[in-house]
Parts: sequence; C-alpha cells; structure tokens
Amino acid sequence: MSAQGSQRPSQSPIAEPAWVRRLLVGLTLVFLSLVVFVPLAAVFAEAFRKGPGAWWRAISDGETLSAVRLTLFVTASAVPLNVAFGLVAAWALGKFRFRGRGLLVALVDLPLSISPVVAGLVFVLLFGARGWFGPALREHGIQVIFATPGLVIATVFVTFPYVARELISHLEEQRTDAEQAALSLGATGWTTFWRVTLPSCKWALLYGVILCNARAMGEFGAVSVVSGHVRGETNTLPLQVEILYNEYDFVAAFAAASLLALLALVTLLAKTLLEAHEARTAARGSGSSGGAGRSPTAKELR
Amino acid sequence: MSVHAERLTKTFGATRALDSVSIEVESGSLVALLGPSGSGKTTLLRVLAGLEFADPASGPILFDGEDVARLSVRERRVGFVFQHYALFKHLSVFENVAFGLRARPRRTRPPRAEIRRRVGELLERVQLQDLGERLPSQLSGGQRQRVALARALAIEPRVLLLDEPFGALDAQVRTELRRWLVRLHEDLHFTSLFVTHDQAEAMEVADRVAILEQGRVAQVGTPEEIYYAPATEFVASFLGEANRFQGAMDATHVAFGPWRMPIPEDAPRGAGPVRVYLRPQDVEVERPEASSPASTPARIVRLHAAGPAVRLELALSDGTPLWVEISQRRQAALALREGARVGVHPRAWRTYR
Repeated sequence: MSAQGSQRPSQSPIAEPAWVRRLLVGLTLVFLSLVVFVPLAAVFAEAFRKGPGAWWRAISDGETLSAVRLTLFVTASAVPLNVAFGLVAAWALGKFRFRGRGLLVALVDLPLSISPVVAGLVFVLLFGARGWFGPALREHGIQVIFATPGLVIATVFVTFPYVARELISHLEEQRTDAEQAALSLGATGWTTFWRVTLPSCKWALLYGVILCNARAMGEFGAVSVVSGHVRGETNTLPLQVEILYNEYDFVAAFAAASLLALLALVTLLAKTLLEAHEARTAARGSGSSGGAGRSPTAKELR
Repeated sequence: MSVHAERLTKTFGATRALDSVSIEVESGSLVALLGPSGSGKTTLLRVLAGLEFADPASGPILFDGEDVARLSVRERRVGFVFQHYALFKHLSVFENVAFGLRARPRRTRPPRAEIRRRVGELLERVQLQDLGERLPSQLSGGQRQRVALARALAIEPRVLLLDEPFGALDAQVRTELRRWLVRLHEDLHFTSLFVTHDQAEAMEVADRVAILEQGRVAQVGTPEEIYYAPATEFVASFLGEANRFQGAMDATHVAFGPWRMPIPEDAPRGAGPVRVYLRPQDVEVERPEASSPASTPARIVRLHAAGPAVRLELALSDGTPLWVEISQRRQAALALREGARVGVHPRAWRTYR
C-alpha cells in the first residue's frame, strides 16, 4: 500500500492528523476521569459503603431532612426572585443603550468573580448584629444573619448573574423586528412583552433558571458565613455535609453529598435535553430557510 | 386612503437620512420608493409608518387629510411588512394572522368566531388555508412573506407599507410573488408604498415610482416617465444602462461623439457643455451599405445573443466603445457577427448640464 493509502479515505483533508486527535481525546479523558468521574463515583461508593439501609437511615435523619427542606426553601425563594430581577435587568441592559450601560453589564457579572465568602461577609457587615442595618432591623424583630432571610439574600447575590446573563445576551441579539411588528399591529408594549418578547426568550430563560437552580442548591461559601450553623435550623445541605464530615460520620456525610450529586445530575440532564431541543429547533429553522430557495408549487401560487 | 407628507427631515446623529422630503400618494395606488442603499427610502417608509418620528421641524403626514405625524405606530393603523418577515416564531400561521385582532382592546375586539372567520378568509386570500397550524419555521420564504402580508392586512390598515418585500427571496419566487402582489392590489385596492432597490421590480409592480437620492426625492412619475424622461442626471444614470458622452450644445443642436443631433424638445436650451445619455435600446443599427445620413461607421467587438435581446459592444471609428441592444428579430434580419462593420445612429438622447 502506498503512504496515501494508509490514510482512511473518509478522513477530512483539513482535519488534524489521527495521532493528534487521539492524543487530545486521550488527555481529555484522563483529565475528566481524574477530576470528575472518579470523585463522583467515590461519592456514591462511600455513601453506599454500608449498604442502602445505612444510606437511607443517614438521609432520613432529622437534621439532614431539615437541611434538605431548608435548601429547597432557599432555592425556591432565590430562583423566582432572580427570574424577576433578571428579567428587569436584562430588559434594561439588553434593549436600551445609555451612558454607564457597560458598567452595569460588568456589575451583573460581579457575583461570578467575587469570592462567595467575601459576599457572605459583606452581608454580615450590612445586616449583622453590629452591622449597618442590624440594630434597626432588630428593633423591628427581624433577624437576617444566622437566619433564613440571610441565607436567601446570600444565595440571591451569588446566583443573580445566571438568569440575567442568559437573557441579556439573548435580548441583545434578538432582532426587534418582531416587536415592532407587534406594535404596528396595534399591540400595547405590555402585550408585546408577554406575547412576543417573553415567548421568544423562554428557552434562554429556562436555561438560566436551571443554572441558577443548580448553583443555588450547591452554594456553600456565602451561605456558610451568614448561616451560623444552627443545627436543624440554618444548615443547608452543603453545610450539613461539612458538619457530618467533620464529625467523622462519613457514611452520613457522603449520603447527604450523594443527594447533592443527584440534584446536579438531574440538572445536567435537564440542561442537555434543553440544548438538544434548541439544536433541533435551529436545525429545523435553517432547513426550512433552505426550503425558501425552492420554487413554489403550482398549488401554492394559484 | 391618500397619503400626503410634507418636508419630512430625519437626522441620525450627523447623518441626514431624509432631507425635506414631500410625497403624495393617491388613494388606491401602488407606489415604489426606489433608490440606492442609503438614499433614505426605508427611513421614509418607517417615518410614514410611525416606527420613527421625523425631526420636529418636519411638516405634517396626512392620512386622508388627518395629521398623524404625532401618532405612534399603534395609533396609525398601518400595515407594515418587514423585509425579513418578522413573523412571531412561536405562534402558528393562524395565530400570527390573528395577532392584530386579538391584540385589540376588549371593547373593539371581534368575538372569537369572527376572528376565526376573518383569519380563514385572509389565509385563503394568500393561498395558505391549509397551512394555518404550521409554525413559520416550517414554511418556505415565499410562504412566510405571504403570512406577513396577511397579518398586516388583518388589521384593515389604512395604508400598507412594505420594506423590500421580496428582497430576501430568490429570483424565481420573487417574480411570482410580485405578480401575485399586483393581482392582490387590483382585487383589494389598498393604498400601498413599497421600498425596493430593484428597478425591474419597481417598474413592473408600481403605478408610480419615486426615486430617492441622498435623502431627497429626485423624481416621481409613472414607470414610463421615469424611464424615458428622467428628470435629472442621477435618475438617468440610476435607471437602466446608458452610454455617456461629453457633448456641446449650441442654439439648435447638440454635438456628442461623432454625431450632431437636434436638442431634445424638453431639454433646457442654451449653448455650453452638456452630458449626453444614450440608452442602448435607443441606438439604430444598420448594414453599412444601407446607412442613413446620420449614420456613423462602427465595428462589432462583441455580440451576446443569449437572452431576450441581443447586446452588442461596438467600437466607433475613433475607438469609443458603445453599448447597443437590438431585438432578436432585428438580429435575425441583419445576421450580425463579431468583427462585422455596421452603421449606427441615435434615435433618442437626453442632455444634462
């Protein structure tokens, strides 16, 4: 066989050589295994080390259950708040051009770049017993820090960018023709928003919600600072994992961690399904715009 | 409904997109706004629609005598068809067309059955009655454009405005659709303005054509007037092709190239240099021996016989190139070939200072 014949004919002439591809894929696999697959498997292996019975006892423990409930409550509060804030912010930043807009867009990203611990400390400084607003709040009998409101505020702060960012980039690139069409058809701005703008960005919104949700459930740093670790009261699931681990109750710690990992996997599945759906819609859209090129049948034009 | 707008000016930053444009559209007519890109034609359409407000010093925009210049796009009740359709992607064809009716305030909103009936009628009108349940992404470009048209017509607009309505379609669909639009207009008699940069489209579809140049109206007229009697040099050079000569005018004649011809009747007189436009169709080609007195000899450099007309690239005796178009029938009679000698003389010409 000639040297040329040793190359598979199906290989693209502009692709990298086979050994480069194999090396890159191999390196990626090794890395992912070490950093993701093995740890994930270890969580479940450890959680079930003493059998499913022990796992079940661990997660049905009163304190762990209350941590699950608290995590769900905080998430269920933070995500809708961030959807509302995200919509408003995205509308303002995606649709309008004004002085200082760039700065605001950068500020939306701030929670992503700031350490969550710092964020937590900021809220302690603001709302803590000796903080700026702490005494005033206490006079009205409101406790923020070391209580559920603090957990919600910290989570809102940390997870704010996810919905807003998704929507901003979507509203920026989305042509406003459809909205102008709605207005020209006599729709009010309100009707246009609910019937045209929002439906057009519903997938971006859902995507943002999924990411926001995942982050809200798993948040540790900021929540850890404002929680105060009151057992059965202000411990979210990630905090509970840490406490159990520090008490050398490994099975219980990993059982709780396996719950978090399961939540993460569900989120990943939802995200993947959503992306597949979007890819399908995009393919259908481009497929039929190719159809625009075909000449109409006699029936269509008659 | 008639449209009458006066002294519309629109500036975007330092750019003057419209420069004191006035336009009058008779009720029931189909007017093309034609011009090169950046001439302000789309801006004019959007100002008439209310999608942009003209500068404050502008004159009124009268719809049947009522000034709508300060009304928003919602209140003007215009049908607007966007170049890229701007359909609501998440709504079915039926819901797209029904949108304008459903969006009305409750007092004036027709009952459900009435909406269903009217949308059905419109879909039939645009020959999409079987596709009401489809999503826009499942339609071809031509079908989408017709949905956009039906959607705009659903609100019974006072005037229908179309922005490059066929610009995104390929040639064959475009031709079919514009003939269809002409028939639809003949049936329904709506007043309509459409923007195009395609002169063939403007000439074929419109009753009247307005040529825009750098934010001003250069000429308004029937397609024939615009084509055969271009008012300005810009219009002459923008529409179709022309051979351009530097000429000299005296009291009675204009001399250009090898010819000395009478001054066109409608041309301003007065001695001096002029530019002369000679359309390829306005040149008579003869066998050299049959030449008339005005004829001048020329040689055929190239001959393109494919197409509805035969195009000749000639060289006059001093080497000046001259583009000429003759009918296939004339070519059959003359049997011209590349390299052959012919006699040519102008039948019609226009002069500009």
